[in-house]
Amino acid sequence: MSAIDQIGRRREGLGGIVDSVLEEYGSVQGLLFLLPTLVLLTGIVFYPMVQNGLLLSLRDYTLNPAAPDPFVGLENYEYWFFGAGQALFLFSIKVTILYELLVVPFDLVVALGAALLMNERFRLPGLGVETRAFWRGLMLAGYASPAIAAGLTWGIMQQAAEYGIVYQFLTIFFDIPASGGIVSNTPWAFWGVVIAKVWRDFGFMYIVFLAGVQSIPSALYEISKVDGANPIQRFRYITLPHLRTVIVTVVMIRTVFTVGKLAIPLATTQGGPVNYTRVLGLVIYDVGFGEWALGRAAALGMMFAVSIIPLILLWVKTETEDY
Amino acid sequence: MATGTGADEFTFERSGSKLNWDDHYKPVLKYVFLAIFLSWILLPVYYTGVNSLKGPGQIFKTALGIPFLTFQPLPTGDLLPILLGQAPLVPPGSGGSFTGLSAWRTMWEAFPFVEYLLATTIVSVGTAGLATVAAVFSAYAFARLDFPAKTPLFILSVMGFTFPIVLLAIPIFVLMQQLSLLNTYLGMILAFTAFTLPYNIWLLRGFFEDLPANLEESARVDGCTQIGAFFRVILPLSRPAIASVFLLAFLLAWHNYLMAFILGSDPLHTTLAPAILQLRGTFFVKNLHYIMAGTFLSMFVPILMYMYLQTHLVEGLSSGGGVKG
Amino acid sequence: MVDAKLKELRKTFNNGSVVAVDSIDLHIDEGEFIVLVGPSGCGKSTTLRCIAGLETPNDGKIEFGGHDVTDLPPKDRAVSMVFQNYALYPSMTVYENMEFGLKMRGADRETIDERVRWAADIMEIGDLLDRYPNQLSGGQQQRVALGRAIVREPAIFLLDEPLSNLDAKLRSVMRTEIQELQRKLDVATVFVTHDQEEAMSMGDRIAVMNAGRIEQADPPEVIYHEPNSLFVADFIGSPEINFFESTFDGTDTVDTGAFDFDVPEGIATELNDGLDGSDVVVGIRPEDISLAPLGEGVIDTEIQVLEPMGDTQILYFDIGDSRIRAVVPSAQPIGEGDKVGLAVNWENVHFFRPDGPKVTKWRKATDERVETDQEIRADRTAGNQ
Repeated sequence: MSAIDQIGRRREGLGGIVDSVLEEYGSVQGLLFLLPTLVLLTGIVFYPMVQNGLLLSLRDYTLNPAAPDPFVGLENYEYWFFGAGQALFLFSIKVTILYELLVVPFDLVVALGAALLMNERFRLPGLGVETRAFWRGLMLAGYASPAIAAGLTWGIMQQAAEYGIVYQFLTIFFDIPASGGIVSNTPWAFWGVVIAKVWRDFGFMYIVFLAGVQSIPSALYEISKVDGANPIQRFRYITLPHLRTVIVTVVMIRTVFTVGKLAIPLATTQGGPVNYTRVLGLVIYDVGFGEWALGRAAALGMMFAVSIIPLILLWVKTETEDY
Repeated sequence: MATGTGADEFTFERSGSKLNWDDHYKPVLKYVFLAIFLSWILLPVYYTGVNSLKGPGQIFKTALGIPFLTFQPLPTGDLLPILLGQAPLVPPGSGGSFTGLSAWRTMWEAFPFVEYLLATTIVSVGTAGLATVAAVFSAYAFARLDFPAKTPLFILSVMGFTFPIVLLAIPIFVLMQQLSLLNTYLGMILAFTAFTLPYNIWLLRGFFEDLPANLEESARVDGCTQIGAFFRVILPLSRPAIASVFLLAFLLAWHNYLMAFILGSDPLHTTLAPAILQLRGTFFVKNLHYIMAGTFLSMFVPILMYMYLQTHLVEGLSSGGGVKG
Repeated sequence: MVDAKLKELRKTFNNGSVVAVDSIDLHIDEGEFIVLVGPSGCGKSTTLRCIAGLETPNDGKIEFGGHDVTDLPPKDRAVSMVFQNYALYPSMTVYENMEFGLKMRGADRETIDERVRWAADIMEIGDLLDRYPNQLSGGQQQRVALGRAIVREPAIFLLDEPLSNLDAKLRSVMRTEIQELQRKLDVATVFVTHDQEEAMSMGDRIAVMNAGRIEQADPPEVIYHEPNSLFVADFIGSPEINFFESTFDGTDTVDTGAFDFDVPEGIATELNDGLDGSDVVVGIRPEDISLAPLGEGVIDTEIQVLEPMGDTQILYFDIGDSRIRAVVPSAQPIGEGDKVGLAVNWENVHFFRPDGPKVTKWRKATDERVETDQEIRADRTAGNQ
């Protein structure tokens, strides 16, 4: 049989059966592909969220299986809104918002600077070899590190001891109280956490910016040189506009992402001094797995979830616009 | 500078200074900035690495110094045994001495670091494998196949991306407790996979969408079914993206503190992140160098992986990471 | 009005291992339109970029109107440039793209507006001023790029293969427009292209470049009829010139291998002077080959391929190991497979040394009567060697 005739013939045997089944139920193919994901997500995220999150927040639940977990209605919510937990609740919201407002812009500036820098050539005169790829990899050392490790290390370096080199360095410029160092004094503790967070996280934006900057055609810069633009003008009129959409996307992602994170504040300052760096995520963690008042923690979690849903929806809307 | 107003006079003169940014300042400054940046970035890595080789007393004295250069050798002057960790540990506060790798050795002995490392590796590899497989199929479905409710399902699959994990901490903890999956690798792997899937699917879908449609079309003309085209044509071409996804999932599991802490509390199931934090809790000043060693270990492995794979990563992340346009 | 001089301009890359521009000298007159043409990698773009100031030459000087501009940055050279891919600023409107150069130089709003509208008028893009580059077609983007270049009234106008991205029809339209534009503005212009047809149709002068050197810089007719070297003769002219690797016997006969012919005394002298040995390359352009009745031309052969080109036809023959091309009027009724005789218009036959440089051209070297093919043949048959 000629080659032309072969096209369109099903495979023989088992392969052929599979093929026909798949052709028959074509649209089901897609759903089949999705099956593992859907099962996983429903089982681990959606169902528990409702069952153990929402419903749990309406109970007085502790870890002890023997203790009763009576249905207490909205008592847990009252605790946070009006009860003993109110002060912490409100303060923590402030801390979290301030945290976002500091971390995201710093992230942006550092990542942009790093991307612009790494877009240059680094041909070492002695070696005559392009070393750029190596440095680019090293830039990601922070992003590669676990947040806990980052927080812990920066926390140690920020202590007021001989080994607290960051403290030793910054004391030269600022008047940081010697008892407690950076980590246990306001407002230094906050900055300490911010530094650690930016160190750890800027890699994400950096990668995206680097790809963006690399895609700018060099002819644009050349024609601007002929037009008479200086380096600052080139950045303003060529680089920045090119990155504009990317910056917006990435800032949105970062903002939404940062909101619930607790590892770095936990590792650097443990939420201290007092509650100065206790972001909302950390409060939930402390209440849920420190005090084991899981019901209360779940209630706080629910409120948190509800408040960031607008953010998430906004992000989802802009990202799926092409649909 | 030339005026170009239509007149015949052009004066060709230098308008700026002779030393300009592009030719003179930039070539030098870029190395300066690179050095500054890299110092800041590598500081914690260097700090933990270097200090893990010293006795605690030594750390107190010279936190930044390289072990070889910053203190006196033992009276015997015999450096090699010390380096290999065979010299005795000197008690803290006694002036310290170079302990070489003995901190590392003791760390393995005093704390179950072998188990920690093992647990972390098992969970990370398991997560990466499961997540990659699920993500590849799902992303392809979203990118190329048609089926009912595609858009809502996509949104559902991907919105977990931005959801703070801390909100899921309690629900999942309770779930695992009910399923008796606490302190099991399976439980941890399932949880981590669920967290990393949304981002992975999003990336891979973007990547698949960027592949030209006529690849599959020409495969089908050659006699493949859609599925066949998927396996034979698309998958081999997607290796960098799939590798990126594998790496990302691996790292998420390796890095994760919260769920690892919650879901795995016995030594066999504790991963590195909670382990290090525990170290800080109970042993601080006395065993600073253990903390250093553990922290360094947890940073070093991923850094190596990143350095090795970073070119692929840029490709993978930027093709699907919403950078287009 | 400004002229430009390149003096021993030299540019290398990779620490000297790649010589892009090999000590060239060129004088571009005020208001002259000169085309740099050559194959990829011949150094034409690099030369242009050196003139612009985007590359710093390793050696040599560049002078505009007598001033030495070799060390000046691009913005002080009063040049305008158009790139192959237009390089329009994507985030700016057409108007903003065009005003950019003047804005950078601190001109006032009135002047800017006046000049932008003037340029937009000339390029006929006045109604596109508020659009963004990604909303324009290729041709429109090209006009904007040109408009942007003329807004500043430069001293020198540089174009780097600006038409290569356009489709054929648009390309020929733009060719005429650019020429008219240049004549109107009367600015010294350097135009780079790899397309020899484009070069021939556009320049006041053409500089044919090869491997970093200028082989010949002359007006198009001179380049075509009096090529200085094998390379120029081969590169310019479509269809390409036919080359015959031949031998000269030192007295009066040149043997191409397929046929031989006698040369007049004047030619013979020049050949003897110019050649090192007996090897000579004979160049005959396709339009100088015509059809003759069988037996009456220099050689009889069979038409292998016939390409109708409208008012002419291109014929391809296999003679020896080579493919020979001829161009004849389309009125001539012939077909593939026909056996025909070939006649040569001896006046335009070129002689080159095998290593490149020209030795002479038939018409120039002699005022003696040109023997016709028939006579030559008759001679030969009669036993005259």
